[in-house]
Amino acid sequence: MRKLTILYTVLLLVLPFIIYGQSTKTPWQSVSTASNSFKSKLSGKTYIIPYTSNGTHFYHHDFLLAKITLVNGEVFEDVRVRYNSYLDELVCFNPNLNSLYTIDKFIVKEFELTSPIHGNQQFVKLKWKDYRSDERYFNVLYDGDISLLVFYKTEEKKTSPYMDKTGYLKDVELVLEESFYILKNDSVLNKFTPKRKSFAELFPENKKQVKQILRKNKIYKYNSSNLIKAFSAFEDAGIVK
Amino acid sequence: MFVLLDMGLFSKAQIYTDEKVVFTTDRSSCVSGDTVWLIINLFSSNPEFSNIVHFQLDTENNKHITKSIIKCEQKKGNGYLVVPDSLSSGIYFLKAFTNFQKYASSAQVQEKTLVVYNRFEEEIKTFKKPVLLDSDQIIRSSNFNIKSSKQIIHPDEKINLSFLIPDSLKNSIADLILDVRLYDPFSDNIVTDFTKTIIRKNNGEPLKEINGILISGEVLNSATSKPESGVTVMLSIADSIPYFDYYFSDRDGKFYFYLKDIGGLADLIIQPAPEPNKSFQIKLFNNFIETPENYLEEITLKNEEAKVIDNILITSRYAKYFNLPEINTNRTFIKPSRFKYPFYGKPTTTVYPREFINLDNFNEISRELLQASRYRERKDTALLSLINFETNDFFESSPFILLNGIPIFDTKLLINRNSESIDRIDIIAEQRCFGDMLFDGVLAVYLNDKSLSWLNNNHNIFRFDYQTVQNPANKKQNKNTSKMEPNSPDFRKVVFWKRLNYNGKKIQNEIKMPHIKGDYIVTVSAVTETGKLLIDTSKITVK
Repeated sequence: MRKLTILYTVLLLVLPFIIYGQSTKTPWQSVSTASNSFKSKLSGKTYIIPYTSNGTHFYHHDFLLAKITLVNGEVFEDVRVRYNSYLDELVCFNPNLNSLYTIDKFIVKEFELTSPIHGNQQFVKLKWKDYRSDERYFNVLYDGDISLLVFYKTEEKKTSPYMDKTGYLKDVELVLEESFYILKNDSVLNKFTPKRKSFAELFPENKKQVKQILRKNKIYKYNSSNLIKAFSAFEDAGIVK
Repeated sequence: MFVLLDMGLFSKAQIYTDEKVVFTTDRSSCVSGDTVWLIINLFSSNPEFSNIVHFQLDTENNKHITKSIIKCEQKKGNGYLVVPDSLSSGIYFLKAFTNFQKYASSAQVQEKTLVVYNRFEEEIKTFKKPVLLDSDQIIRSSNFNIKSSKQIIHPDEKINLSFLIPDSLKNSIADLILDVRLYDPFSDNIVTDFTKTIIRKNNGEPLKEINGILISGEVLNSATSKPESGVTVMLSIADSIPYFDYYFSDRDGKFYFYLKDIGGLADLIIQPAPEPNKSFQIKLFNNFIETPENYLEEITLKNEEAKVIDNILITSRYAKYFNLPEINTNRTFIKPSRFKYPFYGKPTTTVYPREFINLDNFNEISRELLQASRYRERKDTALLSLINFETNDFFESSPFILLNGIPIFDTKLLINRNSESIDRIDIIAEQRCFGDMLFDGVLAVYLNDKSLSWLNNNHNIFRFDYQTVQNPANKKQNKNTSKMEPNSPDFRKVVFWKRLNYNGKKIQNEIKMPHIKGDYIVTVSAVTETGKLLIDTSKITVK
C-alpha cells in the first residue's frame, strides 16, 4: 500500500512535464507516384484560412478550377484556386497534401477560370510598385491595343462596433473595392476613373463619337459589365482596335 | 546518272505517325580525332514534336563509342561529333534518333557508315566492309547536273560550282547541302545509308524532348543490389539560384528528370531521400539505342585505295604541325531555366556573415546571427529548428537544409563552418510546399568555396558529369599558336560543307581549293519534304 502511494505520488509529480522531441516528419512523406511530373513543380507558402475571415478575404465565393500559366510558358490545368483579394494572392488547393497554399507570385504569369457569378475571367500579373508588393494580379476586362484591367482589393473599413458570427466584438468590416486601369501598348498602367469625362480623355480624337456610343448603348453607370459593353461598342465603331 | 529508287524512309502517301530524323555528314571517312559535322532534318506530322536529336557512334555489334545531343530549330539542326583520338581503324555506324522514337513501336532510324583511320597507323592494307541485305540499303541517286567552271584546277585556286534541281523536285525540297571533300576511293564506294528498326529493350518514357532532355536512372538497394521502388530521388544542380527536383521511383526502381534549356557538361547531384536502416545506390543511364548487328567481311585494299588512305593520314599529321584551325568544343554548362527566386521562394531574411565579427562555428553563428532559429548540438550532430512566423512558434521538425543548393541531411556538415567560409545564409521561416514536398522552413547556406569538395565523403550523395545538349561550336585557332601564319599550307580534307538557301533557281558557289593534289568529290544532297534523301556526285581533280 505504501509502495502504491509512493508510485502514484511520483506519477503525479512527473505527469505535468511535457517532453519535447523533434518530429520524425519528413518533407517527402506525401510524395507518391501521383507527384511525378515533367513540368515545374508549383510552389508556395502554406495557407490557413483565418478563422475571422468568414470568406470575405476572397474575391471568389468558392474554389474554382483554373488554368495557370507560369512565366516559363508551362500550363497547369484544373488547379483548384480561389483568389484572395485581401492579400492579392492566389490560394491553391493541393489534393495530394490535402492543404492550401498561396502560389508563389514570381512563378505565375496569368490564370483563367470560370466563375458561376462572374463568368470567364482572366487574371494577369503585372508590375506594380507600392509598399506592399511589386506585382499585382489584374482582371482583364477588355484586351486589345488598349486593355482595360481591374484590380480587386478587399480593404478594412471602420464601422460602428458589432458582434461578428464568432462572437467577437469588432469595429471593422471587409469591403471589396474595384480600381480600374488602362494598359496601353507601351506597357504603362494608368489609373482609369470610370466616368464619361475619362473616356473623352482616353479617345480625344473621337470625343463626340464616344458620347454618342455611350448614350446609344444607355451606359450611364460605369461598373465592370457596362465598361466591357462600352469597350466592345468602341471596338465595333473602330475607335479601339 | 538518274536513278531514283523509291525505297526512302517514307512512302509518298505516308503521313508521319512517328518522328523521323534524316541526316547527312560532311565526310564518309575520317582520321581518329577528327570532327564530323552533321546536318539534320526532322520530320513529324504532329504539331508538337521533339527538337532534340541524339547521335551515337557504334561498332558493328552495338558497342557505343561516343555520343552527341543536338538541338534543332524549326525542324533543322547543325552539330558535330568528335571521333575519339584513340579509336582503332574500322567501320563504325552513326545513328540518330529522338527520345520519342526510342520508345515508339517499330521506330526506324537512319544508320550511316563512317570509316575511321587511326592516326597512328602506318600502313593500312586490309579493311572490313559491311555486308548488307538489299532490302536494308537505301540508294537515292538523282541528277543535279553538277558542273565546275574549270576542268583543270590548280591547288589554292578558286572555282565555281553549279548545279540544278530538276523541275519535278523543285517544289518539294526541304533542305539542300553542298559538300566538297577529298575523294576516298574506299569509303566513298562502300558508304551506305540504311534503315534499321530500334530494338526496344525496356519500357521507358516516350517523352517528346522539346528544348530539354530526359535524364533517367535507377535506384538500387545497396544490400540486395535490386531496384527499389517508392524512393524519393532528388536532383540538384548547385548554383546561387539552385535547381532542384524530385521523382518517386516507379515499381522498377526507375526515375526520370526532364531538364529544359540545358547545355554543355552538367554537374548533377542525385541523392535518394534517406531511410532508416537502408542505403541506396544510384545508377544513371546514358540514352542509347540498340539496332540489329551489322556483319562485316574482311577485304584487301586495292593499291590505289591504300595509297589514298596513306595520304589522308600524312595530310592529317601535317595539318596538326601547321596548326589547322580546330574546333572549340564548348562544354560550358548552360543551366536549366529557372525562376526569379530559388525553389524555396523568396527568403524571409538573408544573413551575410562577413558583415559581422568572425564566428568560429555554426553554433555561434546561429546564436548571434540567425534570429529565427534554435540550434542544439548533441555529440556530433546538431538539432535545428526555425520559427514559423505565421504562428510565432517553432516548427516541430527540422528545416530543409541546403549547402550550396544541395540538400543535406547530416548536420555534421554544418557544425564546424565558421563565418569566413560562408557567403550567405537564406532563411525561410514559413512552411513551404514544392509540389508535394512540404518544408518546415528552409535554411540555405552558401559557402565561399563553390567546389562541392565536401561531397566526397558523403555516401548518400551521388555526383555525375553528364553531357547534355551540345553548345554551338566555334572554330578557333589552335591554342598553341598565337595566330595562323598567312603562308601556311591549306590541308583541309573537307573544302566546303554548307546548307544552301534554295530559291528554285540554279545554284552557284565559289570554292577555294586546298593545297592537296588529287581527286575531290562534290556531293549535292537534297532532302525532300517527305524525308527522302537524294544524292548526286561528281568528281573534280586538283593537279
